[in-house]
Amino acid sequence: MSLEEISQAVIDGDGELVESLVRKSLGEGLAPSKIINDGLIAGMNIVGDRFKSGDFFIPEVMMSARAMHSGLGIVKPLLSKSEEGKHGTIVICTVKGDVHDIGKNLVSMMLEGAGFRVVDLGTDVSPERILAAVREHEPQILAMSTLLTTTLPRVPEAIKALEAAGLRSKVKVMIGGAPVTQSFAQKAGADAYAPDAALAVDTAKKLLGSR
Amino acid sequence: MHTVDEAARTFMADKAGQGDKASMVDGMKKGDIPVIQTTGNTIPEAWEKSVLELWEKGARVRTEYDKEGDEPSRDATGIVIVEEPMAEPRIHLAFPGGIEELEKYRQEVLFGVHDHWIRPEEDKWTYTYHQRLAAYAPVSDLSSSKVKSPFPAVNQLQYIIDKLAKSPISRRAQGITWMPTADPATDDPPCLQRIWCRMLEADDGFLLNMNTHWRSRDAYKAAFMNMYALTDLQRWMAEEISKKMGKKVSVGRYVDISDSYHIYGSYFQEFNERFLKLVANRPFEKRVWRTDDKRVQAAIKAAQEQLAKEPRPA
Repeated sequence: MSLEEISQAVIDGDGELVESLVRKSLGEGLAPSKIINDGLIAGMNIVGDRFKSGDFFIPEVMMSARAMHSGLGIVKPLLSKSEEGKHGTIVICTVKGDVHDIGKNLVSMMLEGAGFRVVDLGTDVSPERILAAVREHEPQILAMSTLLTTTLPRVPEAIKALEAAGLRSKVKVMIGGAPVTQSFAQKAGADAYAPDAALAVDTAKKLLGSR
Repeated sequence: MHTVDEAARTFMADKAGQGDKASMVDGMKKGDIPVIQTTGNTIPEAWEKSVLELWEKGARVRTEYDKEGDEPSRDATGIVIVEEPMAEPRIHLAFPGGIEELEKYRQEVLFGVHDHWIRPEEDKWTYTYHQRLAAYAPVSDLSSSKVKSPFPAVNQLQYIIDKLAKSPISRRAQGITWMPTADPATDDPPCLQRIWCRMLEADDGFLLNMNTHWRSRDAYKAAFMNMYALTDLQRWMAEEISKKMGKKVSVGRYVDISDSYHIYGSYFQEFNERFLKLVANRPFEKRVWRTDDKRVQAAIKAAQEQLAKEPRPA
């Protein structure tokens, strides 16, 4: 059983095949962390590169991420705590009032594919829920998005809530979404702005100094 | 007739010769909005051709949504004809989401699974297409979902089904979305304005033809998903009419008419570096998926499971 086969099944977005190959690899005694890093994440890294270079469409990235998840669902429970999310933890959400999750889901999957532990709070998330998640998961990065101009003000509001709770210095904040710009990010008090999903991974790595 | 890839190659060759200059549509003078019309057998084929045609022939127009430094949009009045709306492949891969999102959007339009997100007082939506078509009730103010209409809600989808089952040749089977009483004052009024259906006799029953009319349309990032969902609405209505009439009603051609069919300037980089690149480098069969692909079916099932778990108001 080769790990390249797992990577290829991830690239092809074939979750059924990924599941069977992962089970077979475990049966052959391969370490879960090796299956994740050299099989699942390696495949997803290729998908990320192809997306970044304009050689993959978004639904293909999402399908590959689904396939990777099929494998992760089997091997993740076998990992020790220290092995899980060794690249860092990211809490991600759309801000209060915004129920559009397509961009956020894509970013979330790309980040997970790059080896981050991602805690996805979903859509329409209040500052209170963000604070609770930051306290609970102690992420290195909080990623927030908004698609609507009407919910843009919720971004600085959430950042102010972090400041008021004394949590701002403990977490980097990156933001994105259609109406968001670099200058808005600066004014809102964010640490970084990611204009699209492919660059979100690079931005997260830069923020954590892991490039 | 050109195949899809022949059409794409011709387009790429023309573009190489023209640089980035738009060619005027024949008979148009400066200041006229170009009119483009494209036909395809399937949704992906018709949609892709329409976007390529728009890119080539669309007028350069500034919009109120441009960010600093954005190029002017490409804009035209667009007519897209899908000859076999239910024929496979039905999915073009150049849409901004995954299959789960596409399935959820389909269910939003057909069944109103997100009508409970119509909560402008919480910065959420002011409408959904399903709500406007299935429970049309004009109000004077869309700042709060608590504002009540003086009129009882009209289920226009049911009206179309009942009308055509009773009078198959009717020209009145339509549903509208626009509320002149309130929409103009909102930030994001509906793009879809009207659906119109008509049946004609076919060899073995009837064909349900559908036209949809759009005020404004994000051709690159929204139109494919719209077409996918609206043609499924067409299929559902055909089935309902068939049940009511006791006769076979199949899906006829779908025509999609947009007053302003546009590609935003902010998309141009991605459009050039992904969409045009993949149109040039991949055969059409690799730019589309069939809905019966096992991977697509698994993702649709996952979306249905996610929808079942979504919190809903009591």
